Amino acid sequence: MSNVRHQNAQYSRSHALRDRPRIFISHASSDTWVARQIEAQVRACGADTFLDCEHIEHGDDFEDKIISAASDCTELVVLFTPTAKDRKYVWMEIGMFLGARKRIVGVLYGVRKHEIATDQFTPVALKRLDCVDLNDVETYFGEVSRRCASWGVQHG
Amino acid sequence: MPPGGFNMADVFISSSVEDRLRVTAITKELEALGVTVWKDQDIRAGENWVETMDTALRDAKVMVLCITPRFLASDWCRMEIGVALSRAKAGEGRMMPVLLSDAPHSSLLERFQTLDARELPAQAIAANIKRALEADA
Repeated sequence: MSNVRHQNAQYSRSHALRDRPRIFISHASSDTWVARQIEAQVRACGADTFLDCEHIEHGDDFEDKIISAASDCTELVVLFTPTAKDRKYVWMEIGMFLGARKRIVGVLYGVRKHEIATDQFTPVALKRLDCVDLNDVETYFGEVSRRCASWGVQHG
Repeated sequence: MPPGGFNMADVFISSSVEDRLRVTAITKELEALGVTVWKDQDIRAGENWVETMDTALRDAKVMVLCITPRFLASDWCRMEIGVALSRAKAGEGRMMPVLLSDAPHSSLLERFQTLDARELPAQAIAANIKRALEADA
């Protein structure tokens, strides 16, 4: 029960500071084009986004920006690819959202759900995440649209 | 497991499996000081990792990260760094990096006061962790 209260407190804190959901898109640099397509669709649903290549400028403190954005965003989308599994910031970003008990959705591209489920090196926590194949990502956009509507946001 | 099951531990220790001998020694010293400890190595094997980590890591007053090259190279440990960061950022616990051996530069962890424990015995490391715990009491 205390965890539920904690989760609600975290959610309320993020919620109180924003007028719409803000979605952190975690990806490997080699998957940037795909990540940008997801970002465009999420924004069209009415949500704000954080994509490191878009929102971090030369000279910025990269890690500070990541930490602040994770704190500010209401949910995380992980573009889970074979490359992303080897990117250290992807794992740290997952941990930050797990720690804050915020929603995490995996978008699988080049990785199958059963491969994650059976990979002995993938933490159990990730095996339990909501995952959607990139080919079915429209279902996730539909969920984002509904969440935006619940915040009173018109479609972007 | 600390007394009372999952309810509360003072300290959560995140470490690489390969560093288990030194971590076990630190844990024993902490327990001798009356500090309850959760080691992530104890819970990774279980299917209830999420629930257990939720309780153990969230409720811990001090989150100790045992920094070694193997720790920084581990996906799992990176994820736990993220959990600890989010809690520290929210003011819900103290994140305490403990440098156990020479490790690659990490600007991320430099943001936090790091205990240089490369030459320290387990007893001294435990005493430092207990001091950090008491500082937040």
